[in-house]
Amino acid sequence: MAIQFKNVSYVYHQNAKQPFEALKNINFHIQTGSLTAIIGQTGSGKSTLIRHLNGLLHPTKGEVIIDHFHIDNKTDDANLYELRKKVGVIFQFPEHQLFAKTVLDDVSFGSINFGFKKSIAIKNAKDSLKLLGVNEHWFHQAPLELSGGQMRRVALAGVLAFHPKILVLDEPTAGLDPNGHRQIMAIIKSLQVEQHVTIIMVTHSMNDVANYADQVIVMQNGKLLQSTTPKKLFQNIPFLKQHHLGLP
Amino acid sequence: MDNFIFGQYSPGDSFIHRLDPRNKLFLTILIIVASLLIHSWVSPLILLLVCAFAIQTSHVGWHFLIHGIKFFIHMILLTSLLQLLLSRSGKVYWYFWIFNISSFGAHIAIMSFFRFIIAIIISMLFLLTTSPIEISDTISSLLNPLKFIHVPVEDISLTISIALRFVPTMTGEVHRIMDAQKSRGVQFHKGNVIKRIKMSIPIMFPLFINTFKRAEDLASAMILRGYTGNRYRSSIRKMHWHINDTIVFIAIILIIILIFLLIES
Repeated sequence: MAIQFKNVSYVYHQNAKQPFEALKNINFHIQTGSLTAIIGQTGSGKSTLIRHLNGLLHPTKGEVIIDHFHIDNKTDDANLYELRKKVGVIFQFPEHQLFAKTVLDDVSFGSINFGFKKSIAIKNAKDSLKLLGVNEHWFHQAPLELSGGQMRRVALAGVLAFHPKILVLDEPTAGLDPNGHRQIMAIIKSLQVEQHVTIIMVTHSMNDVANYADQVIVMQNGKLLQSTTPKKLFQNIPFLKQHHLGLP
Repeated sequence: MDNFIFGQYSPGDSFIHRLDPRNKLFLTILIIVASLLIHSWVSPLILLLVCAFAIQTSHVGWHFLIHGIKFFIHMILLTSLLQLLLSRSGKVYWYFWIFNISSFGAHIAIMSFFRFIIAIIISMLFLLTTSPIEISDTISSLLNPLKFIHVPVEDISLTISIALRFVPTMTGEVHRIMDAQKSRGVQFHKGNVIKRIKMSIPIMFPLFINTFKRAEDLASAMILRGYTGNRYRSSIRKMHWHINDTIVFIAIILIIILIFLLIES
């Protein structure tokens, strides 16, 4: 599923005295099956941007096109259920959203909401938990008894379990140890390579951009500065210096 | 939910913003009490006019405010409608099964509609134009006399200011959790009442857990900085009573006295 942003702007608090334009005329294209990294400083509009990918926010101006879904400011929320089934979004610190009685319940929650049969949802949940390396004896424990790193894996599994065609991740490895970081990144990459999932990932790690991404989008103050390949980005030393970006 | 502005502060430097918060709180309470005591149809209109004048001078923005209280307006309309249909007294104009429209019902429905609207608008305006810090200062200054009977006023005002401080944090948190659960296929605006109540579990549960965690962290941070309860603390902020406060104070009191003398009697 390809993704296209056409002149997308987004304004927060449109009715208030001081509206805030978080996205300014964003245009880019993401190919099916690619891994795209979004980089930029805090407050550059990355989180606002990814909330457009499954229709949590609708563009104030312009249009977001994902496969045959068109989202603009007139789109009705009810039509977005099908889109959300195809686009899995994992926000920052997803372990803060766990709620169910057991790990398995929490991981199958999404699948059941999206209309999978209970037996299939449970099977998918077990598969994604195994993929993320969560030990089987945790399956019937309460998610809150797990360690932070394990909770993160459970939360990630909760989205992978309904097999989204597009996977959006907001700093999936923030706060993990180097080993956990490497494992999670390897799993994300394997989803792209083996299952052709289109992946969009917000990150602050230039190493991840260099090692895993096919395309990189650089944001600053709500504007898109560049949409390019990591190779070209890291060769453009003056640009990196000018925008305070590091090298891998 | 997106337009839920209760408890939010809208920073500004308007005439209303600059009034002494103690004055604002007192007059807010006064107007609410007055609106509860009136029985004529004309009085609420005068009070609404006062509200309108206050909104205009506060520069909060009509659209913003009305959007913010939409939820309350719906609730108030619902209660008024129930009062209109369920109370039977005086002349009955129409009835069906347990429902009826009577002269008394119509009167109390309209009055309670106005009362709640006035109370919501004026308290919303107070919260929008008074920063949380000012509010807690005001409350602690009002509680000050209670010190003589050994009420831990300092602790109470600290608790209040912490609570107020965390309202926006928790609103933000609710939004984040809702976004995450929507991404996992939860449809908040679908299904019957029981389904919708069930749908609040995936929001409320993480919210409570995160709030308890945050409270613990805050407590640790306070202990590490040597906080001990119930000591006398000087304040960096002083509240000042200006000539404008006197003018507004007298004007509102006069309006309310006139309402009760001329219209209500």
